[in-house]
Amino acid sequence: MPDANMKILVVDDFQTMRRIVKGVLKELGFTNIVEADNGVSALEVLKEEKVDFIVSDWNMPEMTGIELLKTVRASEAWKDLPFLMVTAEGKSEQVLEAVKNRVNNYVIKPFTPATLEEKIRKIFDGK
Amino acid sequence: MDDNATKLAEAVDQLALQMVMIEPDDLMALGSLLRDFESIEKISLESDFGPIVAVSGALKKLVEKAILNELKDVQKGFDLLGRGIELLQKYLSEPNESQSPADRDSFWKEMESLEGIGKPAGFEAAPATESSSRETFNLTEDGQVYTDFISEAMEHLEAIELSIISLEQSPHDKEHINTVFRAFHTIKGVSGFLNLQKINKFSHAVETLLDEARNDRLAITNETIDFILEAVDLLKNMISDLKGPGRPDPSRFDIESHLAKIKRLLEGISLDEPIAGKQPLEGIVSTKVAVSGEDLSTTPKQAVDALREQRRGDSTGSGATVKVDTQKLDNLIDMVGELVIAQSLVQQNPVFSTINDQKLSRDISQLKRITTELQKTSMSLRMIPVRQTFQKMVRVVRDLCSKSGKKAELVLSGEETEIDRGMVDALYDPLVHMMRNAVDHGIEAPAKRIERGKAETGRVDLRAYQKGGHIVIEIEDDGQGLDRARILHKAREKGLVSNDNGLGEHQIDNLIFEPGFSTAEKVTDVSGRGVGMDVVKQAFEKLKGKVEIFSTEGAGCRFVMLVPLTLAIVDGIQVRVGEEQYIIPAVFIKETLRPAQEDIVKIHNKEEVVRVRNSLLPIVRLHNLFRVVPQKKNPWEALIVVAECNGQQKGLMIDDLIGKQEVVIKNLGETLESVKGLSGATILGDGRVGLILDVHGVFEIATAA
Repeated sequence: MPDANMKILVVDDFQTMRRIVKGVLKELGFTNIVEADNGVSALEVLKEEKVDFIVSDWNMPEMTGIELLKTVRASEAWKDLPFLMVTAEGKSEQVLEAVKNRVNNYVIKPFTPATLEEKIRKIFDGK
Repeated sequence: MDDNATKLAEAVDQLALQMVMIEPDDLMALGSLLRDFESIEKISLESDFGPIVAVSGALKKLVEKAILNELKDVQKGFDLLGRGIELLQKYLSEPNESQSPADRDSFWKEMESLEGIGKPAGFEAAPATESSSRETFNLTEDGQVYTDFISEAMEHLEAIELSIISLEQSPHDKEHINTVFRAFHTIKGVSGFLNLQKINKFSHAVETLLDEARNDRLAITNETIDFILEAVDLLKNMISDLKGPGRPDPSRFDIESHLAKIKRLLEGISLDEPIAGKQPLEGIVSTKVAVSGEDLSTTPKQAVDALREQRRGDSTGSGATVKVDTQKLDNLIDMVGELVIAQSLVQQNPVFSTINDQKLSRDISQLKRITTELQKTSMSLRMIPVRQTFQKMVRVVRDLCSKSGKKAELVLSGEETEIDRGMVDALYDPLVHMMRNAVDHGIEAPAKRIERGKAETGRVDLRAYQKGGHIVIEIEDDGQGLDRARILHKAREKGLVSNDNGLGEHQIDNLIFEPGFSTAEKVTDVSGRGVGMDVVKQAFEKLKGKVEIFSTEGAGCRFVMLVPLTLAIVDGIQVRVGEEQYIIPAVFIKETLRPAQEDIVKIHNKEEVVRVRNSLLPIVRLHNLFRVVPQKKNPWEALIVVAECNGQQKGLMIDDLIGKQEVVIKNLGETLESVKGLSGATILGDGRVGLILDVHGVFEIATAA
């Protein structure tokens, strides 16, 4: 597993959802977590802090997860930043779109701590 | 063409190389494969390389399956992928030679069988396996998550009501559909985590419906809107039910009939071609942007929509906020109140005036400045914009219209005006009532409006603004106004007035606030339930506010409601009765006078009245009421405060008027809560306690005596 101290940015417009994701991440031993409520504010966080890993929801107002992914990948500074997309069940076209845009992995809601752990492991072990 | 062929050959060789390295679960590599296949497909389409189009298209699907984890046999799938690429290489290197048909046929056959088996499970199948194999979540024991979910979900649901109604006005506005969709989507997502299956199932179904609408496969009709509103209500009920202890069983909610409705709505899709192709979310957003730049034939509607979107973008700018328990907030404000009092006690201490020290007095003034500022700031914490309350009225008016067959538009302004948090709930019912009044009694039926030369759709304005120490809320309609003849007739019939010759127009209008008054000829479902405007008036008086009415027959009616800025402070007149000091809220006071001896009359030898201009007002001796010894025994030596409440006027007898003062209201505490005639207490500048008069209660006691 990667460094437990890495800084993870959780992006979701629903506070409860962020809390859940955070809770799961904490169960997995990650405690260094920052939050943003949409793509725009996520980019602001990225500019301010050195983030090691993004977990973002797809569906958000103002700037969606896929737009965030595209922006991140298009930037020189963040193009290799590990990015995990959270999508809803049954949205295979979203998954494909995300994968095409170089997402590191995706996870489907609702997910279990084990699933998330597996995805994170896949992202970081491959490195 | 040759150029393209070379490009293709290079791309395919590159692919072959990648294939050697690839791991089935390396998503990034699969993504790159997918992109490669797409570009190969595109180039070959352009160049009309038929067989390559077919093979690369099929391989693309295969990669998609690999990404989505839908390959039945991963090993076989990847073998096929390799063979497909070989096939492509062959096509490209020997374009003129025919393929060995055996290779090709077996490739397609296996492709077929694999794809046949692995056909995407569709939108519904996945969740069942996903959630049943789920391990237990510690999160569900985290009560806070539930509480958060409830409040946040309710907020979202309330917020979308407005979007739904806007959607009704501009059914093609994608952003409205998206907002509504997002709320259901999010609730679905979170409820899945929290194992709230019924909520999950229902919100999922509504989401599916909205998704169809979003992708132009379902038209937004009035029926759809009605249904979505119903769905919002049902979800609200289901979610607020969670507040109960022990997470009650939601089985009392019948979602099946709603699910059936969704099915019906979905089946109602016309079987024609969809209006536009399936558009993913980001497609919608980008087409919107593209419209303004490229498409010169922008319609006015598109322009308006775009502008509206821009405005919305501005207004939804998320300021950083913190949620705080209201109890904590009230405690804080309470303590600040105490601090202000303590500060003023120190400052007014007589010992202090004997000390002649510049530094000390400077420091004390500094302390006073800070405490005053602190008090102002903490008071502002209680204030929230009326926006939410106002926006709820949009729904109310809409529902009223659809029930009564009238047409009316609610125009909001001043939604950012802030009112005391404690007032928000208290305002809701009276406002709903006034809205009903405006639509039911004010706005005419469409046919009648046209006949009268008015626009078919009526207009109701709901405004808020601050004026002096008050918040003013106005409701104005362009309906028929009050029918004074009918009001008088009714009032006489009910015995509310005996002699109506002397009544001015304003007084007649105000009759509608009398208890038991209701002029609606037809008792409708929504108004005229026997609850009249008197309830509204009482509600405002309870808030230490008042309602006034201005009506122009045939042209409309305007209600002006005044409420104090805050419930924590009252603007009062400080008076003295004997040794005691009382605060009378200023809104109730008409005037203060010292009557001449001949203006005091005793009726039947017991009831004292005072003549003020043309009317006789009963005198209420406050010292009798509160059992204190007065300084002045006779009304002509004392002062009379003319107070008005519930349309009645009485003269309150006091010893002396001390001054006008804003005081911080303190609760009397549970034991004294039910004491009539007093609404609270305050600590005066000199540290003494002053009681705040409840004029309403005082009038009741006086009338009963």
